[in-house]
Formats: sequence, structure tokens, C-alpha cells
Amino acid sequence: MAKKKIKVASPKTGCAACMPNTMEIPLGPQHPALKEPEHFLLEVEGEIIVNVTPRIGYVHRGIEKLAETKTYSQNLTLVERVCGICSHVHSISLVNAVEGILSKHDFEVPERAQYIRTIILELERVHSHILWLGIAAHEIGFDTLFMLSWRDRELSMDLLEEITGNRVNYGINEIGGIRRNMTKEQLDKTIKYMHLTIERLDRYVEICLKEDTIRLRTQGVGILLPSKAKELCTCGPTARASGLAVDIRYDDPYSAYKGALRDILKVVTYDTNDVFSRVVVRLIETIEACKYIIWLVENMPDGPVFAKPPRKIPEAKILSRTEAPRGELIHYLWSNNTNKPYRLKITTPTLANILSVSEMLKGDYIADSTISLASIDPCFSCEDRMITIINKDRRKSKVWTWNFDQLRKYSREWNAKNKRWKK
Amino acid sequence: MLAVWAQWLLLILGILFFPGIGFCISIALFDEWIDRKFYAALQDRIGPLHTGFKGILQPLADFLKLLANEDIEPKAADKWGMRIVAVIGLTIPLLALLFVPIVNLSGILSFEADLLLLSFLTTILALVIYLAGWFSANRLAMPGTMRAASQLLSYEIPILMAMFAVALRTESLSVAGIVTWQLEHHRPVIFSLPMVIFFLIFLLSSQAELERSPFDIPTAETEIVGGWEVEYSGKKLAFFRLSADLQMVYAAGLGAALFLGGPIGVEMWIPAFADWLGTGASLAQPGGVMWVGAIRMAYYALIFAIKTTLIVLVFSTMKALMARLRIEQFLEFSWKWLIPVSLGLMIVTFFWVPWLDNTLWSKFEALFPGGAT
Repeated sequence: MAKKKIKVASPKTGCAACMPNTMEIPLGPQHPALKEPEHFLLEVEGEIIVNVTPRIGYVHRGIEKLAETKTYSQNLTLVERVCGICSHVHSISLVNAVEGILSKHDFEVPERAQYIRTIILELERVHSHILWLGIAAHEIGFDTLFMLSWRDRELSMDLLEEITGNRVNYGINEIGGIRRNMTKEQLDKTIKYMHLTIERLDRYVEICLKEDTIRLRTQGVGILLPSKAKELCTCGPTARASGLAVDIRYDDPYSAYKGALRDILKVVTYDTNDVFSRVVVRLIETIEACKYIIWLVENMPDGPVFAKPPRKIPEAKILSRTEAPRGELIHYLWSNNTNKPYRLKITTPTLANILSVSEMLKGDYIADSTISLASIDPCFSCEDRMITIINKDRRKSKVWTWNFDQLRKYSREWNAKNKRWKK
Repeated sequence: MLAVWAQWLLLILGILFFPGIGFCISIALFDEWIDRKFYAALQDRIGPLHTGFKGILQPLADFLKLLANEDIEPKAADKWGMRIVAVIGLTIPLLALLFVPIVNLSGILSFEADLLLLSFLTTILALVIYLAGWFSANRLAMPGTMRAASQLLSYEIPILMAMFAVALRTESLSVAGIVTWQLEHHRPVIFSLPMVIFFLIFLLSSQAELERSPFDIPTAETEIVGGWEVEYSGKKLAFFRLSADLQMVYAAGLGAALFLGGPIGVEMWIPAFADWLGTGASLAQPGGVMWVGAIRMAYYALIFAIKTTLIVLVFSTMKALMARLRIEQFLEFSWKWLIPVSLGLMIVTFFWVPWLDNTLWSKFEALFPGGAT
């Protein structure tokens, strides 16, 4: 399963025979395989990719800046909107940061609230991983698996809707606890649905391990060696599929993972380093997540789910790490003894993983580029921040820091010069 | 006895409407509906639902909608080339369908050795697809074009092998002759031993030729954004879509004619029924009874529809079963497995035809009331 050897012609040599005959094929920013805008420039020799240049930063939403103008409670609503799939983990990250500051001042979150938060975290992981399985199946043209796995994803989605009231942005977190308690019926239903999900997932594991066409398309494709994975700072399932046992839930536990759950927590790794390995890691992780949910429900403590926090958060700088379905999510919070954060910096797992894509694609066929790219489970819009460099000379680069009037003036000038998009 | 002009009129009407273009397009749209419904059922979906009875008119609605869409032609493309190719792409399967027996033992057009013409038309279709990608001058169309050319040419060969193996078995190079052989011998060709495997090879290669999922490598949306058809929109895309449906019906109809006895149903084993049907009037036999001829046409068309739909169901099942292979894996499969196997079976057929007929088949002939001739 070694990488194919590529002979790259040297660009400096003059003779016609050694001329580099590479062609550049753009992958994105608009491409049916990418659901969000991102650009990868593939340099290909025939059908084989020799180099990949990722270009990020197509989406700017100003969430970090917006967070400075809102109170902590409002920010929970805001950071949930960072990602449509792993929304809960963002609010958990912020809540953990704030509660981490408060814990220095004798504030404690009720145990039951932590358990319910963790149930939702794991439910989110289940539905996110099944969603990824469907997308990966669609990339390799196996639409039946795509449709069936998304049907079974509805089980966890229904549970999330029943527990939190929403399907995408759950809005259940509050600083100091959660907004809704779980009833006895909901707990029972959770266990029932999770057993059903495990049953279905076992079938998909069987399909993915035994189906020949899936193995032909995923084995030996998109190889990321452990040394490279470490070097490029990959995280989450991408790193675990390269044999690195990194999992924030285990390494730096938060919420309910701090307790007895850590003893049954398994860091799933697999060692073939290819796309197949990522499929296996994600599928087994999903089954494990279902088991954690069952454990959490069975060992759910009684008690309150909310403790009233102080309105002002004392001054501190804190880094909160959580394990999102895609990897390590970082929220860096700088509070200044008011009810609003001074600075909130969010780094999503895709930013850590995106460089590994160019390593994976090198030496593969063009046909495999989309499945390799999808194998890191990219979430570009969460990861993108925009920065515009005006002059290309790096030594004199200047960042746009204009106020509104300057921007309006610039737009008028631009429109006058370009005659409103006319060619 | 009809006048000569009336015969010509009937022939033209036949080509235009009933067994010809009109009927073929309707059955193509019907089969697309069947395909979509069955594929959806396999994936636990519902499929088209609202247009007509359970969405039966959805393929037609899609076609008309595409006709009304804006037709965009890129600046760099060969515009007349694109237009002509779209029309030819629609014409060829229609022309080929005229040679497939639908309401008679022979097609509307039929001559000795028309199997050769059909094989020629299949190859031309591959060329048309190649040109379609070439004319559109797109960076994503080019890999698609190359893939289409290599895939279509590699899977052409097993299809031709299967066609000519049947011709060898039945000792006839015309589709009408092959169908008649099956009627006279009271058994479809598929009941001969190596022909079962040839039938499977035919189905698999047809799926590859039709570029249907999972063999939609030349048009893979998630890899090369639609491949060779990326620049086609509006009317031209509608033509290519309809052409794909017609090709599907053509492949299914040809498969039915070559291996399953074409439009012949139960009369294969009830000689009296076959004789009674034979008294009906047709263009080839103008002196027959008119109403028997009408019944025969309806009956044959029904049997044809049933058989093609069954084959389309097999195609749909194949579509749902597998992931898409990479182009070089898929070509490898053709050249390493399909072609050697079909070549070997061809030799088997060539040498075993007399032996099969005389020894092996005579043991089974008592099973069928018609008996072997």
C-alpha cells in the first residue's frame, strides 16, 4: 500500500523532453463535491496529482467580532451558529471556558446538567459521523448507502429534537447548566433508539468492511503517514486513522468525561492510514458513542440542572478544548470583568486538518481527490476567516483596516471605475 | 390487398407513431419512470410522486422543462458541432430501435445481416459521445471525454461478442432471423448453456455502455462535474437525456430479442396459438386477417414492454448495488476478465453448437410440449 512513485520533471531544465508537462485543474471554489466554497489547485500529470495548493478564506461571517458586542448568554446563541452540524460542541466550548473562569471563584455546575450536555455531545457525534458516511458514500458513487445511512441518522436527529426542541441549533446550553431537563420517558426512548442505531450501524460496518467496490475505492487512497499526521498537527478522526491516539475527551477531559465515563472511554485508532481507515475509525467511534450515551443515561444522577451564575465574569484568559466530531475545537476566551467577552477566538478542527489534504492527494488519481478531501470531513465555512492582502509584495503587505466611510468611498470609486459590472 | 401508396403510408405512420418513434419514446419515458421508482424503492425512498399517476409523467415533465431551459453555449466551444452532436445522439438510438422487433418478428426496418448495422450504430454512439465532449472545449469535459472513449470502447467488445455469439448459435445475422429461430426451436437462446453467461455479460456491458451508475465514470458528478456533458444545457441536454433513455430501451430490447425471444411470449410453447397469430395481417403479409393482425401487434408490444421492463429492473438493481470504480480499475475488469471470458466462450460456442443441439438439448426437449424441431 505504498505511495505510487512519481517522477516530477525538473522545471529548470531546458530540453523539451524534460519539460514539466503538468496541467492545473481547479477543484472548487464551486464544485459539486464541495458543499462550501474552498479552492484546491491540483497540479496533475496525466491522471496523477503531483501537487496541491489549498486556498482558504472564501467565507467571512464576522462571528468573532460580533461576539465582543454581545453578552455571554447571547454569545451561546451566536457560537452555535458557527457550524450547522457540530453546533452543540461550540456552545459547550464557550460554556466550559466561562465556567472554567467561574470555578476559580467557587461556582459549580450541577452534575446532571453535565451528563445531559454530554449525552447531546455524543448524539451530535453520532449524527455527524453518519452524515459523513453518507457523504463519503455519495462521493464514491454509492448512493444506496448514502440514502440508507441518512435514513438511520433520523433516529438521533429525532432524539435531539425531542430532548432539546430543535434539530440543528439546539439552544439547550446556559452558563451554569442547561435549559431543559430530561424526563423519564425521554431517557427510556434514548436507550431504545441507541440500541436501534447500534444495530443499524453494525450492518454498515459489515457493508463497509466486506463490499469489494468500497474497498477498491478507499484502500490505499489518500495515505497520511503517522509521522506526517503529527507534523501537520492533524486532529480528531483524521489523526486517529493515522494511528495517533489523540482524543481531547480522554487527554483533557471536560463535562461528564471527567468522571467515571473516562474509564470506559476508548480512543479508537486504526493503522492503515488511508481513507478506509478513516471510514473504520468513524464507524467504530459512532458505535462507541452510542454505548457512551447508554452508559450516561443509565448512570444519570438526580438533582438540579441549573445553577445561577454571576452576571459579570472576572478577568481571565482561558483556553477551552473540546473534541468536536471532526477533531479538536479550541475556544480562547479573554474576559474583562464585564458581562461581555473582550475577545473570543475560535479555531475549528478543519483548519488543523486542511493541510493534510495536500499531503493525502499527492500521488493519487484525480478521481480519488474528492473522496480523499471528504475523508477529513471538512467544514470550510466554520474554519474560514477572511484577510485581504492588498499588494502581493509580502514585505509591504497591508491589511484593510478601514472604517465605514472609507469603505463607502472605496465602493463608490470602484463602481465608477468598473461601471457596475459591465464588461 | 392494399395499394402501394397505402403500404408506404402505413410504413411511414409505423415509423413515426406506433412501433416507431412515438412508441419508443413513450416506452423510454415509461422505463425511466420504472427505473426511478424501483431505484428509489431499493433506497427506501419514494421517488417521483406528483405528476400523473404516482409520478408516471415526471420523466416527460423533466424533458419538457429541460427543453424550455436557457441554452448556454460557451464562447470557446464549437457551437454547430455541439448542436449537431446533440441531434445525432438522439437520432442514432431511434434509428437502432427501428431494427428491434417490437410488434412483429422483425423490426420495422429489417434486412439480412442487420445485426452488423446495429453493432456499427453502437460504435457510432461512442464516437458521438467522444465528439460531444470534445466540442464543448471544457477543462472538466476533457477527462470525461477520455474516460468515455476508453470505457465505451472497452465495453463495446464484450457486447459485440455476445451479439455475435447469439448469431453463431442461431446461424443467422439478422435480428428477425434470430427471433424466428427461437420461435421455431421452441426455446429462447438463453436456455443454451454458454448463452446464459453471454446474457450476463451483455447486461453488465450494456450498463457500462449506457454510463449508468455505478459505471457512470465518464459523467461522475462528484469527480468531474458531469464529465463530457458539463457544457450541455437546455435543449441539447434534454436531447442527451432522452437519448440515454432510448439507449436503455434499445439495450433492453436488443437483449430481449437476442436472448429472451423478443416479442414472443407463451406461443413459443403453444404452436396452435403461434399459427393463429401467424394468420394476422401485416405489411409483410397483407393478405391476412385484419383483426388478428391488430391483436398480434398489441400482444407483441405488450410482451416486448414486459421483457424490456424486466431487463430495466435488472439495470436498476445493478445501479443500487455498488460503489463507482475508478476508470483504470473498471477498464482492467473489462480487459482482464470480461473480454477473455467472452472470447473463450465464443470458442466454446463455435465448437459446441452441433454437439449441444444434438446431444445435450435432446435430453431436455421433452420438457416442453412444443418439442424441438
